[in-house]
Amino acid sequence: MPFSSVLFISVFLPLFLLAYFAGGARLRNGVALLFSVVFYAWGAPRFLPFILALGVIDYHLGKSIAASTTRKKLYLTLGVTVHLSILAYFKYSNFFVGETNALLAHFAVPPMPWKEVILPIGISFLTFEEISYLTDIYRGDARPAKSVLHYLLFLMLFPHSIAGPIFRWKDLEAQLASRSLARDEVAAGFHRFSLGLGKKVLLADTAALAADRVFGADPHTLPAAYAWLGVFAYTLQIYFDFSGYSDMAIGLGRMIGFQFKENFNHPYISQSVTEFWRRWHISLSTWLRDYLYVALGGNRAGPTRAQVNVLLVFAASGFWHGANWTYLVWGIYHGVWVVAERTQVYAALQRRLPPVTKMAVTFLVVMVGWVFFRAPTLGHAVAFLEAMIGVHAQAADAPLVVGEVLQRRTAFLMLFATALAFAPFFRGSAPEPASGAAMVPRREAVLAWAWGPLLFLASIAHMLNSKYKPLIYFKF
Amino acid sequence: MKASLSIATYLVIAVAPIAAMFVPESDAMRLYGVAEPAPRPTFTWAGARAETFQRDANRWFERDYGFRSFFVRADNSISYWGFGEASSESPVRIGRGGVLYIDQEVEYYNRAEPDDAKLLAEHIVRVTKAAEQVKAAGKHLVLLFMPGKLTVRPDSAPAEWLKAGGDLRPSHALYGRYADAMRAAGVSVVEARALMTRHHEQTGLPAFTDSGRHLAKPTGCEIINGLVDTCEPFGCLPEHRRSCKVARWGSETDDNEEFDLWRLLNELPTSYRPYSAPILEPAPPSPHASARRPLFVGTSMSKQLIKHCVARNMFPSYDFFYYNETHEPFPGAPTTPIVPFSPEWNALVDSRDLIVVEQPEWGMPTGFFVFFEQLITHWRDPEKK
Repeated sequence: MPFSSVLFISVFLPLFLLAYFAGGARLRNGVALLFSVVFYAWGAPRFLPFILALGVIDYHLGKSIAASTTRKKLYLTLGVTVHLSILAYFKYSNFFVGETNALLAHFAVPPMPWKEVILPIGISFLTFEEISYLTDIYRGDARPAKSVLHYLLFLMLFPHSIAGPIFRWKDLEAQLASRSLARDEVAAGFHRFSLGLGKKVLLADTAALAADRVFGADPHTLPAAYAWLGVFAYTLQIYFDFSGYSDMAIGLGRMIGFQFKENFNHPYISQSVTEFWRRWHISLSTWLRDYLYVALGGNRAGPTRAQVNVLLVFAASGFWHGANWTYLVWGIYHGVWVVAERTQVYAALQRRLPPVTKMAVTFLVVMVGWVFFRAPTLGHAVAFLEAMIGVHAQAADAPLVVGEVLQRRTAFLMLFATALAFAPFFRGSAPEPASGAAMVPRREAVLAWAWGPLLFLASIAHMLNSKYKPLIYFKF
Repeated sequence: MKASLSIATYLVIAVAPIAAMFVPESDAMRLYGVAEPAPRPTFTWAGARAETFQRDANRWFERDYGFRSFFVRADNSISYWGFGEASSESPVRIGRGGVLYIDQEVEYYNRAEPDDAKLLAEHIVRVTKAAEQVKAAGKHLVLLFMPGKLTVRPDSAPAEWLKAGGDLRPSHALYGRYADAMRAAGVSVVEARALMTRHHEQTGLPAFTDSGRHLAKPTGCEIINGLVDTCEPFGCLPEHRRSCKVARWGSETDDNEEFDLWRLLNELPTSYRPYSAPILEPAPPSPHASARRPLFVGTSMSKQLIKHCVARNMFPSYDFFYYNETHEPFPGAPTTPIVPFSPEWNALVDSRDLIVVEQPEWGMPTGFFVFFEQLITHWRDPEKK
């Protein structure tokens, strides 16, 4: 049940809020857990017992880590190994078996028999949250959960359980025990939800119309202008889609008294790829820094090893996004840029460039990277990149038609989205975040009071209309 | 206070449609066009576990969502009034001067020629074979080439709809080859495409209605005259030719089909705009009908042409296979689904002696209907009879 569905907006959310506020402070966690379980069960009922069982095991494992003096590391290793194995099985086994069978076919060897594994929704996010829970207890950065209900709620809380942001137990522990429910906060939560819904439905889904058309065409017949248009549209789509989802999650949290950390901070105004990763999917990049980069040795073993660690972290980040070579290449591509930015030559070059040029170059680098992220195969990505430099067709042979790729409304909303993505740079009001501090400027928050409900209505209208695909007659 | 008001506003927006689900929708707001059915699902544990219940429930809820028509129409209105275009999900396109086109007509011009050429060659073999068998059965096949609106009114189509260069698909490339092959095979052809283009160029009158995809009255009249000419050797009577002169222009139309594309825009407000169309000089129906008994196969264009035939009293009765899916006898009998090779279907095909098959241009080159294959099977395989 996506947040951007009328079933969620008109049934699940009002019923949940009614039960949550009617239940009183004592029952709130129970109500939130019950609705979170229903929410997860709606999307993946067969995996619910499995996810809940994992939560219970983690809860006990966390207590064991905290209580033990001699077997701490053993328990942590056990927990992390189990979680990574589960993730590997569900997320990557189809991919590896597929690749192995392709290799076997090359040598005329019959394929391995294999039944396709279904991926439990949210497993990538849950795995990271569970690992961070155990690791933080091991490091002494967090205390184990006092009740299994609290821990399960931390894992299952519906605003984040399907697609993040990635929570950390230590950030939510106190809020799980007690939180205030000021009316202003509830209203602000609705505004934030509405803002996210608008970003997702009105901007991301509109940009997707253009991106899907272009990426759906044969890249070998794609003129450069179309290829650039397609990747630009996708660049907008992925940002407004994911940041919109994060806004909705943060807004839902605020409605029920939680303060979640920000997950995006105007990433496209970054002046380096390194900065981009401080602004993009912040909960993932900080997780990778704290639990993978540090575990690999960070920069403690010298600059060369640190560079290798950066590459490894970005490769892991890419592969975490999906079981496909395209994601791995995307991760490594970003890693190479971050490593390059750490060199003195690049740093010197960076110093000479004006901020707007640095921003443009970074945006270009990121945009090219999205080709790997969006293309279904590496071959498609390469052909698409070739199209971007004009290797393939001329405009007259284009498989696409401008009017179909870019309707006037789509073009207008993409322009608006572009302005929204870059405005903070020209306004000078969005410095690099020091941490997960509030990043929504006050002016936008004030505007939300006026525009929030209208945006909410417009989003619902567009959502319903985009699913209304009438045919003229019964049989076409 | 401001916060409470905000929360209440959001909740009303979220919940009011649920209440509206129990209130009947007004006719004025009804959405036009046919969408896939989404029946209310019944809960079963097996369905929930397989996630089919959730999917069906979601679809049903979206379909029956309160104020849905208003939401859809409001969003379409933003596209229409704000940007002068139809919604991206709409099958309709708005050309220059508000002339409406159907997607398939535009897509026809943007398809790749090489793929089409192969399909056309196969289709020509199929139609020729069917025509031979129809002839051997003592009947007559007429192919009616119906143009897309874009062919006749290219001036109203913006260049950005068409492949770079903005050129229309050359008429000789596909259509010409098809028509020539049919003539060479001895198949009677009514070139409505040529008739309409010529008529439009000579008179300046619209060949199609602006707000729909159907024929304007003068062009419908010209096509029927073409049909009379073509089938005269096979029993059509020359007295059924008539003048297609325009008497006047008026906003009244004899049915609402002229607004079919306009209605599909599904925007606010819902009332029709005044629409003026050419109206023909009155002509009384002929006192004599031909002895031929025709079977028409085609789209709503053919249905419209049958109405012209009825007005002229051309034939004693008419059978129409609408999209080769439903059987509509004229005048006035109930519509029934077509079941190919059923005793009723066999009897009907055997007893009709003039078979008129519409070939919509945008459906080329594959002919759009499986009717030809059915004819071939019908007369090849005696078991089917």
